[in-house]
Amino acid sequence: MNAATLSGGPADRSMTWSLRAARLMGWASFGLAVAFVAAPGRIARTFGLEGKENLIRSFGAQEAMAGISVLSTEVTPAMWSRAAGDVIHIGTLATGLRTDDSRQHRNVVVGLAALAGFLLVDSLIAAKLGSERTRSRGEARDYSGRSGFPKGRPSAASASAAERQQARQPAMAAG
Amino acid sequence: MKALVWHGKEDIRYDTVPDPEIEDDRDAIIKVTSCAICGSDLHLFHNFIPAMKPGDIMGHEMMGEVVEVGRGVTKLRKGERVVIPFTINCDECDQCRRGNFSLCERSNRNKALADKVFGHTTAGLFGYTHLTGGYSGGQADYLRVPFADGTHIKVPDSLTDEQALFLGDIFPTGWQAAVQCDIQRSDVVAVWGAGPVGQMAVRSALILGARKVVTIDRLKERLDMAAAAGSETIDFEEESVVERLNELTDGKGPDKCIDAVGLEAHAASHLDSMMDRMKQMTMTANDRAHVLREMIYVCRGGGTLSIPGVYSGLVDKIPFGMAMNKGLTFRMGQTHVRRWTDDLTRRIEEGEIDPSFVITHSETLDQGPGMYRTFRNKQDSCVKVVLKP
Repeated sequence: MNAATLSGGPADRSMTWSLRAARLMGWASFGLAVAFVAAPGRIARTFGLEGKENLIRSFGAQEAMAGISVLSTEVTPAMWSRAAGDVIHIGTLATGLRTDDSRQHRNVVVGLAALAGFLLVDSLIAAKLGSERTRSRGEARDYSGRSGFPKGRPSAASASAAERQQARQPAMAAG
Repeated sequence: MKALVWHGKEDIRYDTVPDPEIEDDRDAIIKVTSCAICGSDLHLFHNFIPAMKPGDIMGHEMMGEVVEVGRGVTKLRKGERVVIPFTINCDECDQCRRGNFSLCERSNRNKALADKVFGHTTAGLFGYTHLTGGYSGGQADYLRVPFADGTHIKVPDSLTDEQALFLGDIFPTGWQAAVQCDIQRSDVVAVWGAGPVGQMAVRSALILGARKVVTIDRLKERLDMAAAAGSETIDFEEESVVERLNELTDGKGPDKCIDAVGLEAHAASHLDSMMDRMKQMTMTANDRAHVLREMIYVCRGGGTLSIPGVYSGLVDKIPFGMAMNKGLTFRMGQTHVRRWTDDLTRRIEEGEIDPSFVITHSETLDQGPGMYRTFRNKQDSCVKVVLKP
């Protein structure tokens, strides 16, 4: 229906890299949600979290909500919320360190390192989005001279009843 | 040509697109000399208005010079300077003849879809959703104007672009908001939102003889701008809107209330606002209707609520019982731009009002994507952006 774009460059876009990165993390949340819901047993065995399958499933719901909210317009609080979710995941995964199985122990260490990385990235994105979207404190130009009335402000008495009536019912004839 | 193109939520790009061509005998092509970013463009930017498509050219506030006309165009000639109203008018249907130009029954080329969604179609709009025709907008080098005989406002030579540009939307929108209030000399008019439409509504209410106008916002520069016209102001982050309005009206409440905010109300400390934000965050609602609820609560019994602010869909938790029992009148709608523009053009020419007071930023079109961000974030005291292709 409308003109197809012939060309355009990333420099000419309204989206900042932080918003693009946030969107990526939002879609990653959906991927994690699917994994948590579809394979909680396998995840539990990998990280020594046997018996916590229902908790892992609930993380699936949490990640799905995180994905939805990151893709909404409230992206900054959503990214902070995602970072908070990372902290909860780290706390849960850390309980896997008690395992006697060396393979599971190694997996937990790798997982914790990855989650720490996610936490850092999520926090950086959230902080950047916040700074991009916030006005400087005390920022306000002086518009006190912009009345818009070149001949001075109107008074209530300046609008006669007849003029108000005319303003309400101007000529309707089209064309 | 170059244009600002919608690619998705918060994704506007300065792209090269094909030049528009005459598609119908009643079309005209204008070379855009000035265009602006409107508050309702931000609703599209945030994808709150359904049925946008990647590739849509943005913009519904524009003016320029006629460079080509179709064979069926009789009221426009090459070289004429025109403002293009955001509503496309056939000038022949029953609604156009009644002056209800935003409800033109023939200009929406997606009429069948609009009939299904709205019950009955509304007019075609430039640079807006495909529910209103999906017509290319004017944040571009050139614009195709369908039904060109009915869809233009001729600009007197004495007016600059900056003085005339807002005849296409925000000035008549603020004016219609005030006219809908049926203002009497004893009236106190409260205006929520000191953005561009709110500023125009404040001045329109004063011109139409309101005893007192009160403007509600949270941004100092915008409140200062409203105060410059003679309005009282309320910073809703510093004081209670309801208490202050009752103080200013001897406990009676404002007689007339204007919602120049619409679906993206910013009040953060109220429970209903928090709930609205949560619902937006989970994509279970589009509209944050705090202003509407507050107006219904604080308006004097028998008063009028005028709603130029845009709402997109199903609005939640509206205290309609309160409105019914207080006998409130609701008036709203997209602006019937051309109903008002002869009168408003005269008022600008005579120096009664100069709408260019609202322009705070003027940039070239290629700066458009960044200016969307600046305007959305209210940074650099941005109130109104004009772009020059």
